[in-house]
Amino acid sequence: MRSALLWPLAGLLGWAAAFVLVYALHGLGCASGWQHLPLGPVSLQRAVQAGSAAASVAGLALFAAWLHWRCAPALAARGEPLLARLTRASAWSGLAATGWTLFPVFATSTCR
Amino acid sequence: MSDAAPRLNALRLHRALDAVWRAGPGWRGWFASVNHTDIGRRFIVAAFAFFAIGGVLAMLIRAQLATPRSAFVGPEVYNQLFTMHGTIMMFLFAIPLFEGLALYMLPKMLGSRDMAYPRLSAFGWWCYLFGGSMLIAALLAGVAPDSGWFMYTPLSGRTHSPGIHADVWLIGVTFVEVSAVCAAVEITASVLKLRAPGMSLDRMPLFAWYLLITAAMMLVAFPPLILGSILLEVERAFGWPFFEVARGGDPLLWQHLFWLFGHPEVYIIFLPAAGVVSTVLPAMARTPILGYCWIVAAIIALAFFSFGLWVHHMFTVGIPHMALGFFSAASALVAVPTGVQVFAWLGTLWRGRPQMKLPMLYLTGFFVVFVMGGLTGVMLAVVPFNWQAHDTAFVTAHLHYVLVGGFVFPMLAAACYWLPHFTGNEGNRRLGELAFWLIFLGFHATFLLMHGAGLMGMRRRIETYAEADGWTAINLLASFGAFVMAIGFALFLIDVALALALGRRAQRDPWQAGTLEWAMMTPPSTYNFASQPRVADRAPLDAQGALRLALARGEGYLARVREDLRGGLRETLAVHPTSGRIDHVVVLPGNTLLPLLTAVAVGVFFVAVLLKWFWLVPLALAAVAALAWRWAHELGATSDTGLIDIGLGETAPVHRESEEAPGWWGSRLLLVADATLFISLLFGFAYLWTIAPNWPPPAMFASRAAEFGLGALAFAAAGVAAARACSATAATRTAQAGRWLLAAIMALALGVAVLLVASLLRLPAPTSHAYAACAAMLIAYAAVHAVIAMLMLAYGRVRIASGHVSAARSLELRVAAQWSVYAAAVGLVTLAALHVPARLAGAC
Repeated sequence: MRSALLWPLAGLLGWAAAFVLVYALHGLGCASGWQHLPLGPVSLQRAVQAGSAAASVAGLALFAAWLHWRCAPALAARGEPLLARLTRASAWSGLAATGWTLFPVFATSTCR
Repeated sequence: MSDAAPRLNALRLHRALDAVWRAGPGWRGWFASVNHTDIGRRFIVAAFAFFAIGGVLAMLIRAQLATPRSAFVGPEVYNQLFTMHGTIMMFLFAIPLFEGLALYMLPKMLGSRDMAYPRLSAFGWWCYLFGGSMLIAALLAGVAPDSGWFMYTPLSGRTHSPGIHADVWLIGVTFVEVSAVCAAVEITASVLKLRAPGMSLDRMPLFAWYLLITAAMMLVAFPPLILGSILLEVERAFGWPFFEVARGGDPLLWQHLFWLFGHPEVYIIFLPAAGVVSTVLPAMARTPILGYCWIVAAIIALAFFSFGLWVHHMFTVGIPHMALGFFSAASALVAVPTGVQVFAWLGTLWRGRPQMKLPMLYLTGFFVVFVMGGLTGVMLAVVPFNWQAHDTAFVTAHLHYVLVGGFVFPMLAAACYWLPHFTGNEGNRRLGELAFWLIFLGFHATFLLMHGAGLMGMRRRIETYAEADGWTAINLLASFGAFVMAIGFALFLIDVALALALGRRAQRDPWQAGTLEWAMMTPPSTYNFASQPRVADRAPLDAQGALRLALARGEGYLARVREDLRGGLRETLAVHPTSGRIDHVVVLPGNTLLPLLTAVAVGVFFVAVLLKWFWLVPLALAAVAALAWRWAHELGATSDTGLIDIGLGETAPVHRESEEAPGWWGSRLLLVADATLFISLLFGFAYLWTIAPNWPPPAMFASRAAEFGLGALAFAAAGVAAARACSATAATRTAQAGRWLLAAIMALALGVAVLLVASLLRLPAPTSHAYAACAAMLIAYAAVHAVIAMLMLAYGRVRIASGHVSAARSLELRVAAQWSVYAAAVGLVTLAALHVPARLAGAC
């Protein structure tokens, strides 16, 4: 039952992980000169950034769906209605936050 | 030991409980008290005393800026004034004030008799007092910090800040941070475990939710600052170049570490104040809070998002546009959960019948000031505007709107709301209202105008300006406003003092609030509740009209004093963290001088580092270790207690025979903070390697496979042996457990020896390059933790020998095992951080 305390954090932890991953890859790519390596119509840096952001959003969408339709009902069934509601809120706000904070990968210059 | 003492009548029960819970007589009693009401009050009084000192410094700053080319103070003194003003307000006022309120109020609201670790509360108080006094003494001696409250390198480095000014900040603030981490562990564990039976998470007062999440944030936010302070102090003292570009360091690493703490800190300050709003506002509006669940969800979201904003303090350091975009978006995002709370509060006011009493007046001030600060915050989140306004008085005005609006006004509301609880007396309404209007109008006169000064180009922290700059009138008016505000604060203080000395006796529950802190006499007794309630509602006093009397008559849980050979026991109930069902009875330690003595020993360590008396450092550390041993040794039992009667026909085990005793939780929580520090150190290493100029280093560690294998084997064996010791204890094989403990000690010693020998023989000098400095710091961290774990394992062996450990009483061994497994994991990661990059570089 200790783990029940962690589910309301899960969606937002997903956002934190995606944010750290994309920001870390950004620093690594710029330091390694990936912006100068072409990969089709874009640079390697752009491709890595856009790919990691898109993968994060897709992964978190699946995770949010699982939290909403599988995990939260299980919590509610165990007599934890508040934790179930918080788990749902955290899941969808984590997904929305990921989309919102990572959209610059499609819109701004990479390493300038 | 008498388990089923007869039920006492109300007066006899009061006398019996008070005899157990009160402080001892005289000065010794005062120094030895660990009661949460005493410690909470001390924190609050000291925080307001530091607030007064910080306020006087602000007046001196405004006096200097009132006129152009002022000769009131010179630049050297002025630098100390604004640095100390910021430092005092952030570290010695805001955080400790909320800690004090939490220590005083939480057990009362949660239906408990004390916090989970009373001795830790007292230890934190002494650390705060000593660390804060160190900073104030430096101010009086003219050697106060003078590099700004965020101590940017290289300005705060040895070259640009000779003398001990910067050292005073680094050491004094770290000393105070020890107190903050103690409070974070204490608050988190207490909220999760020490509640009234039946108080499930969804029945918990919102104030406790706010404090729980704030404390959890502190566990993760403070370690990066503590690490940054250690690294900068080591650079200043020994020349290890973490922040010096020429030798592979980077000043931006300091900014990252500082703001990884600094931005969440804003919310760490705001959230407890928001908790006050969510508590006081429904009482003033005479209706339950609207959107309880949404508020909790918003607090959790706010806590997370606040960790994704730190780079918005670094928008002008030359960061690529994409990274600016990430943090600009995150900075705007944080307004959403804040907005959810503001709308919930407004909705509550809309639904209720608000009364414009004094606490409500301060809440109105909060709404106006904080929302204005939030709006200028959204302006600053927009990168192009930020570039224009950066380091101007506009930013100073914005942060004062956020912090004074988001913290000071709600805390003044809290002071008015709970004044009858603290003192038993009422304040003077007219005097209180006059104080409010002077503070409110003076504040706007000062800081609203300062926005204009910033937009006109006035930079922060300048000690003077020319008449031709055109800022004369605006500064004069701002200074006038600041003095009006100061008069308002003085009147507030006078009102409190008059209430304390001459005030009219207040009613029991003057606001007709439904939370449990009003279910006791005011001022409160030493034990809070003569018997603990069973809770079935978020507002127990509304739901159970006769609860107050019933508890006083002993009609709840633990309505008696159990005794052992040393006398009466301080007992309170612990519950399951989510459901609120009864878990066990916590037997709390009584009054002791140990917290004071331990804080003195820690203080000697810090002073020795500050004054470079390094010969004293090992003695101080040995004293800390001996006192910590004694600290643990005072508790425990040599026989199993079994289930005890807790009243109302129920029984429960005592905490040392429970799976999830507060000590188990506290150890876990402290490890979270500790691991955050370690991860921050790894981040620093990786950051420098990736971003900093002058890398790769000219010389690296020479890796040897056999050495790596031996070290890894030793650390892995240590972790396994510690875990096996626990499982042997659970299977009642204590002799075998003792042998596993010994094996774990030896394995840890071997692992550390491998690390130390390798570093001494083949790691370049830590002064040569940031690579070697980071590697040496990692090794030092691993070695320190291995030594701590070995001490704990040795303690476990002694406890087995003295009969304090059984299958039921395995808490101490389980805690030792947690730290040993952690130390082993740290050793493995450190080995990898040392060997893997070296081998990869060799392969290239």
